[in-house]
Amino acid sequence: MLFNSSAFLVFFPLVCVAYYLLPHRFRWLLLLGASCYFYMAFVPVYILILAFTIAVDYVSGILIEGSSGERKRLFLLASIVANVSVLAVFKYWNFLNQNIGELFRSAGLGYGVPDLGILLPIGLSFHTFQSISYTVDVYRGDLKAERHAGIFALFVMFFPQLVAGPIERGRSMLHQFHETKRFRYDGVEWGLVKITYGFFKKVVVADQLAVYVDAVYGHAGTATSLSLILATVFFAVQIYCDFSGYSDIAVGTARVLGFDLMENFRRPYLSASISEFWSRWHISLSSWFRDYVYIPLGGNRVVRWRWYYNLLITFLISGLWHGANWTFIIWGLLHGLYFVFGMVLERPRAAVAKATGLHRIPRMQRVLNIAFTAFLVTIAWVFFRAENVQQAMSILQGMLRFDGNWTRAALAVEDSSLAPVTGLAVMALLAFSYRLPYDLRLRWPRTFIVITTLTIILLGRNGGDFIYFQF
Amino acid sequence: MAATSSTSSSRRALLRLVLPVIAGILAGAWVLDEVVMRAFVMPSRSAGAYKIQRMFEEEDPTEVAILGSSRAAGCYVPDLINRNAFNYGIERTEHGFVEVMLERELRKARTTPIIVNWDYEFFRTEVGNMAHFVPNLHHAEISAYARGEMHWYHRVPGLRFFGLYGEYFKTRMGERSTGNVRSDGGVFDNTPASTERFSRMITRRFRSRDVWTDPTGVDSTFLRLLRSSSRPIVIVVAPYHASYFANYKGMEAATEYLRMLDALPNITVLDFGRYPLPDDHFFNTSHVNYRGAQVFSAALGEEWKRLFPVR
Repeated sequence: MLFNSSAFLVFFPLVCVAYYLLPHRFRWLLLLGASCYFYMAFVPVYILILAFTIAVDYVSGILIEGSSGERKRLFLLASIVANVSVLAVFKYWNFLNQNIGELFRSAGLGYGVPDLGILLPIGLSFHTFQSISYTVDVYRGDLKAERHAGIFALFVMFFPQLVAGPIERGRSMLHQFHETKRFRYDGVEWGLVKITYGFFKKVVVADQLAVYVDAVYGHAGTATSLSLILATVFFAVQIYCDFSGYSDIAVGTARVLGFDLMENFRRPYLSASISEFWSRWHISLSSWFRDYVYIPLGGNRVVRWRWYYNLLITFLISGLWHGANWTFIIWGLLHGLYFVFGMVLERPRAAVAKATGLHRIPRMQRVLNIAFTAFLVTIAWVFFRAENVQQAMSILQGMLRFDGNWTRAALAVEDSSLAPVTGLAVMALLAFSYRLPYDLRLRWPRTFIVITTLTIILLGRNGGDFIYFQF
Repeated sequence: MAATSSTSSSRRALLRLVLPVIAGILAGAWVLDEVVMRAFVMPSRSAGAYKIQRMFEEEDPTEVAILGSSRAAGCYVPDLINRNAFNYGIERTEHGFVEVMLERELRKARTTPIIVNWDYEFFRTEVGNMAHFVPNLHHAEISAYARGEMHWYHRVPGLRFFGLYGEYFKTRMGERSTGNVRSDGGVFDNTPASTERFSRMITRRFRSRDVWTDPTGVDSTFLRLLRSSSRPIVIVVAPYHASYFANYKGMEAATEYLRMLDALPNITVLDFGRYPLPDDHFFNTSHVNYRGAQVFSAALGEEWKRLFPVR
């Protein structure tokens, strides 16, 4: 079920009312049933994959906790292999198979292994990573194994964050399912404010920007440079609003039910460096990679070349996590390279700032750094959005042609003559919304909900899926 | 104690949060709905929504209706064809919608001829833009036609224009724009021609592979309507750029189909598809611009006088 669907408008209030009417001991059952229903609205049979992950990690958690030494390690390994195998089959098999096939063909050899004709289960990478973090935490002794199978299943399946995160940790979530939640007016009100703001980001900003982005990227061969540049900038904002909008709705939905989810975004385009960007963008995933990949690889407590290697490997896997396509791998590697070069060039940059006197105007220095970081991130988004590497390269080349002009007619692609203007208008609205308190603790929450809802009705679009569902 | 506190808190939430918020949203949405209907939808004589409403309400016995898609809207200058003509062409519509409009037109107590613009993709299936239909869903025919694309909220006052406000705004602003000319329902592009842009369109057209698809079965309603009335119906093929026909597959069958229509009683087919117009008379390879529309409409007007000298 999509958050931005009419089904959810009925589903969520019903779940809320039933949740607060039920005694605490039955609430986990209601939430689990609701989560199953929510997930099965996509492809019902894929609930079996979730059931497999839940069963494996539930048993693994208990076995890991009850064992030690090599045996404990073995149970952890078995759990990770089972989880990664599901990802490998459903997400990466076809990609791997096609690339092996290409290799065979380029060597003049025949290759007849067919692709699997299966759809990628919604949110597979999210709940698989959440489940893996649980068994690793139990292995490390950071978390006690959950004995209540229903609560554990709910931890993996909790509907607000089931299909696109935030990727939660057992340490912060499991205890919340055991606690008795009382109806709290403040919490419900804040949750509704958060949900409304999330819908604004998704339905007004992201979906309006998508009109132009889709038109230009769909006709990249005939679009002018300025159209390609504008569409890429639009995409940078689109993907932010699409994903952070989803996260806001997830956090708000959970809050209405009395649960606290982690914040996934902290205004990432105001980052002054790539490292800061990754501490503000998809925080639950970047912290996951930090805790379960980067630090186990040695983190920064190694020789310099190994440190860079650790960073590049982490970003490479992060790229691959997003999708089985070379575009995502290049996107991840680009960010890894940005990160490494950012560190390598730290001293020369400081020297330049000193030589030019820029260091005496820290605010100006920060603004320039923010602009440069946003530029680097936006260039990388071309790979993220393009269908394949060839298209990404041709778009980047097209952007460098510097043809076209800023008139509406020149920017228009197909039937999108008003889309550039609408896009700039909704981006201005988003910028205006940044004047709100960062934590959305507002003095006039009800007025905010009413005005934002009317803005959604007035400027929103029925834009369809969230981009991150595909991951 | 805790239960009592929770109950009173939830009651407070209902009274302080949910009800005022819902009331505020309903009131605001109603105002938006009214403003858009009065200021944007109905005053726009070139908007699809207005044209549909007009088709259902206008009973002027002398009116000559021009029906069709965006090619109709952008090619026929009503004044140059007949002083009582009105252009009912609506962008991104196809035969199904023309059939709804034609059926309605044929029910009127008129004897005037009807112009139906015909194009080579006439029998494709596309409902079109809901912005045209939502203000007219109270007409059963429109409601039935748009059913496939309709969402539940399209019937809820205040919510019904969700996702469509931009369309109404665009149409209303377009009426005040210098980039086009609007006259009696017609909308004609009047932007300066760009040779480079048009060359790109021609290149793209040469790459496309349009094919005539046998409409047998799909055309049953259309044929039934053509045969059902004694009113003269003129089926017109408006001009295309020559590149349109370069790779078109099945032109013979399409022409044969037009011949079949021409043979029906009361039906006249006028094929201006290859009418010679220079490149700067086109908006794109399948639509003329204002200059092209004027030349074509004048030619059609002459033909009209020959066909219907009394009128």
